[in-house]
Amino acid sequence: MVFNSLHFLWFFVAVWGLYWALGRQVRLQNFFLLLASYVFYGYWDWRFCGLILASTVIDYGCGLGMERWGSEPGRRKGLLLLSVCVNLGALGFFKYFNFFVESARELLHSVGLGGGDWTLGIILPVGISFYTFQTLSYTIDRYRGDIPVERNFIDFAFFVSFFPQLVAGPIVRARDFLPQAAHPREFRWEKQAEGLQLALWGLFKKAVVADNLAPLVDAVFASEGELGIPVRLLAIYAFTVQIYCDFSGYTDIARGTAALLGFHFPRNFSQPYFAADPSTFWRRWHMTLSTWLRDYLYISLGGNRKGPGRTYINLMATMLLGGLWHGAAWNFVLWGGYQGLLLAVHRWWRGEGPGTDAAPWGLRALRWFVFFQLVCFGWLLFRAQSLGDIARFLAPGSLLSAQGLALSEQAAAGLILGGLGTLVVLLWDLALARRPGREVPIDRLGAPLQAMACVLLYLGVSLCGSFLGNEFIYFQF
Amino acid sequence: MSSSTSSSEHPSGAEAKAKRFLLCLAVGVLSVEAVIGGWVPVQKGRHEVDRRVAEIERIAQVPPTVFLSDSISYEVLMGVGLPEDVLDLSSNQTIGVAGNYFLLRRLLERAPGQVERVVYAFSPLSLSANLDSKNYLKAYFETVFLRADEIDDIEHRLGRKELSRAMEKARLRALVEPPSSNRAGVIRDPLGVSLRDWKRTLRRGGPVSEAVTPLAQTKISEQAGLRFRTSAVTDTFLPALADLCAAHGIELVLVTAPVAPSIDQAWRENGFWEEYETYLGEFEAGRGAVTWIHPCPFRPDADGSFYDGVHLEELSKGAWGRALLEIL
Repeated sequence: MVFNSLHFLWFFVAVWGLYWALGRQVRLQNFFLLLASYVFYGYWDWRFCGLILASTVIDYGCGLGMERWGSEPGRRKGLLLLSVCVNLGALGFFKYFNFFVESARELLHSVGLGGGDWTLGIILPVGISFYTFQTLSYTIDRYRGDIPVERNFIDFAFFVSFFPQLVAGPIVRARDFLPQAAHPREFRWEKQAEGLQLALWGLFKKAVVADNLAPLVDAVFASEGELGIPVRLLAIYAFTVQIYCDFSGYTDIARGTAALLGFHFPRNFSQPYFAADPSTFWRRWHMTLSTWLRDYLYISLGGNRKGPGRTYINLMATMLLGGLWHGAAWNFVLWGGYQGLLLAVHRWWRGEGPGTDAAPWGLRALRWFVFFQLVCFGWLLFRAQSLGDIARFLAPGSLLSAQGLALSEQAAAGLILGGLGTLVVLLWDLALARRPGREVPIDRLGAPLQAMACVLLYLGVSLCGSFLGNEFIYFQF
Repeated sequence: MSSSTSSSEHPSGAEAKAKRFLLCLAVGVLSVEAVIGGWVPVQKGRHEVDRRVAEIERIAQVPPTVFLSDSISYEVLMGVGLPEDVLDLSSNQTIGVAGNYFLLRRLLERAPGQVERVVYAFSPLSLSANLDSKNYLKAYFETVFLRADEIDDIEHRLGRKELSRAMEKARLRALVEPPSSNRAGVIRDPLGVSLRDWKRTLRRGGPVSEAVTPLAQTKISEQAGLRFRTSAVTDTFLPALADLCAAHGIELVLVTAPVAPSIDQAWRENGFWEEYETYLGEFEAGRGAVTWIHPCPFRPDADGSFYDGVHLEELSKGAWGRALLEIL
């Protein structure tokens, strides 16, 4: 049940109506949303529900155990290890088992040692990477003593499975969510208006921009034979826009639906393509993952406290693992390594060059332009199906040839509509960048004008959107 | 409507503004849906079959000749100038003979007594299409042909309950879809068509590539090894199509579409053509108003004329279109 489907629309309308009809009884509200979340998740495959329940029970128990044995560091550490091993073990098995087995087989084969096919027919549970990180944050924070124990199992299970963020984030921390779950939610008209605007804007980015550009990107990356350089650039830039609108669109819908149910989710994007350096980019792109990796991995590895050499190693290790988190394939590892390299080089260079803000306008624009190209190159590594694909895109080619651009009518229309939608997104983000902290740039308009802008967005979605069953890119992670 | 705004306004003022916004939004959305639902014809705009259905829905005067096809002959006439006396309903293999039958039946119901000839061009392999394309069936068939008689035909004539159930589900779902979501083609379709024509103009007169891509080579090798067979869909709906034409006094002309020379040669050797000719020869002989044109009047010289081994590149498509004009 994806957000951009009528199934979800009717599901959500029913949940929303019943939820607010329950009144201000927090236990009932949480239990109802927990049930709805399991229905939502089970809609993909009911077997997934068992896995998330197991993860929930173990982390809930670990949290209670840490409370009970608060004065026994050994036991507390043991419980933390149990939680980390179980969660990462499940993630590793479902997501990476076949990848590592296949990689090992290929390695053995390359040195002349044959091996059988040991891969298993494993189905990757949707959203496992997200809820694993979410629930791990609880046990790690509990271990560090940063948050109180959650004694109510329903509330804890609700935290792990709340459907707006279940399958592709944002990764909501227990310290942000559990206090909200502890209090009854009140129906507030402002929250409803805000939620609707966010959800509608997210749907616009997904259906009008990302899904309209997808056929072009898919066709070029799937094509065989030589690709003209303009075709490669078109595909890479289109994917750059597609992945941003796809993922940030998902996040906006998630945050909007959460707001409609009275919850606040943290931001996940803050105009990342306006960044002029990798540090700023990672403070604006997939912010909840970046901060998770910073707080639980980079800092745990020592962060920048152990000298420059170790800092670079920590940066690289964090980004390599962050890359692997995205998918079980070498191109994601390469992408993570590339991002780590950018961060390390920037860290080294930043100490000697002038600060970004102090530089003249022209230099800042040049920095932005150069860094944007580096970001786009990173997306080539991310999107490629194999290392051979990357090599094909980097091979010499004709500067003027349109070879490889077999546009169907649908892809051609999608390119135009997606391109126009990109301009709207650009204007929207420019307006937001001028007013940091705002959720939407139209909030200062009068109510009728705001409504008119939203009706236009709605029309854009229904008349120009593509609804050919494209799932959100980040669902696969 | 952000939290920053909310905090800067008097709470009751923010609440009143939110209420006004939601009211205006509801009125706005319902109004545009009512206008679109009442004034704009249904055109989902996902693909060519949606376009054909929409064309049939709004057609007033039907030309005497109707052209049906699979994707090999899809819009092959557009590049050579579609004659005024021909209605182009060409589409693709996914919808099979059944989809073409439904298209024609809808047209004849809408404008009875105007059609004199139906020309149906297909690749021999399209006769094995059995409404079972995993990737495309939902978009091209299940969610397109939703009339009660079509669902009934699939269930009773063809005996495909799983498919008729899926169509019925899609029909019910269509009832709760906002009207605007069924009219996206109003914008999307003209864009796609104009770009297609522009692309065609750009390519006109360019050199024909003789190179066969690895993908095309694989496809050609795969198809060369096949034997002729017909699907249950073809066995059911090709006679139904002929009966429909006969009932309306229409001549049905079946035309074999071009195949790559390597496939042609392989099929001569493995008996494919022989079996195909037997099947269609008997079909033609058993029915009065059916004409079968075979072999294909256009025979490409090289496999490179098929960009993916199956579909013609632009110049060869033009040549095939001109050959078809002779028949039409």
